[in-house]
Amino acid sequence: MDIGFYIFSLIAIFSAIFAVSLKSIVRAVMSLGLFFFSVGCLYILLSQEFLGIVQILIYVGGVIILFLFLIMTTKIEPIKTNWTFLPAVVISCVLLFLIVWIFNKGKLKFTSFAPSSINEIGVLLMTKYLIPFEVVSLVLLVTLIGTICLLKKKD
Amino acid sequence: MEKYLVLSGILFSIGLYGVLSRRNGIMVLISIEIMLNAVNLNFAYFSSVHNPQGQIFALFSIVVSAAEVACCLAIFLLAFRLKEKVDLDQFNLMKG
Repeated sequence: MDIGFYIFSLIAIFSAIFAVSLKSIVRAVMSLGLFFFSVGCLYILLSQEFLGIVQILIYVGGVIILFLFLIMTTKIEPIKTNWTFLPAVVISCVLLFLIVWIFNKGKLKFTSFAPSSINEIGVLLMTKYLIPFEVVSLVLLVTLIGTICLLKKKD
Repeated sequence: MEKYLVLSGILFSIGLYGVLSRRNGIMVLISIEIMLNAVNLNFAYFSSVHNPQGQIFALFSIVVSAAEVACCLAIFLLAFRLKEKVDLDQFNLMKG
């Protein structure tokens, strides 16, 4: 369990760094796909199989394909130099330090390990979280209609 | 077991670095996706040690981020038709 966590977290960190800092957009998107896949594996290591499968289905199967379609249909050039390199590094390092400090300060102690099943998630989605479930489906419908209306060619 | 929290903090910082340092719209969107995944990892960790409802919240977050990517890519396609590039410094039609 532990060695799997370290392997996948190293893959996630390095692929995230590549996805953020590579010059070529296609390579960055491929690296982002590797990142999504390793995060899905981390979900499965946390014994949340449903979330991991959904992650791989939606992100690797859907979002990456969307990015590749956009890159394929347009001619977007990779950007030149990034002159805000140093402030960005400083701000993100400060944020990382703050996050780790707060997590150390909080002294989180969880003793009960609660494995969850797909059965439980389905029951929760259909009973307690029924209204958010429907609202999320409405969000998807609005996105679909909005995207089609945005991209429709006016003749 | 707090190593998941440190990992999600590291990933969030990497995403923040990308948002701050890149000017291309697609690269900014990629960085935002990395930040969203870091937050989802946090949700999944707390749900695995506490109760399964955080998993449902992470599920909703995944759906909303997929919708957001679709919308953003449509807007970038429109911007590309207008300006031939998706440089975020050039979206200054309103002179703000």
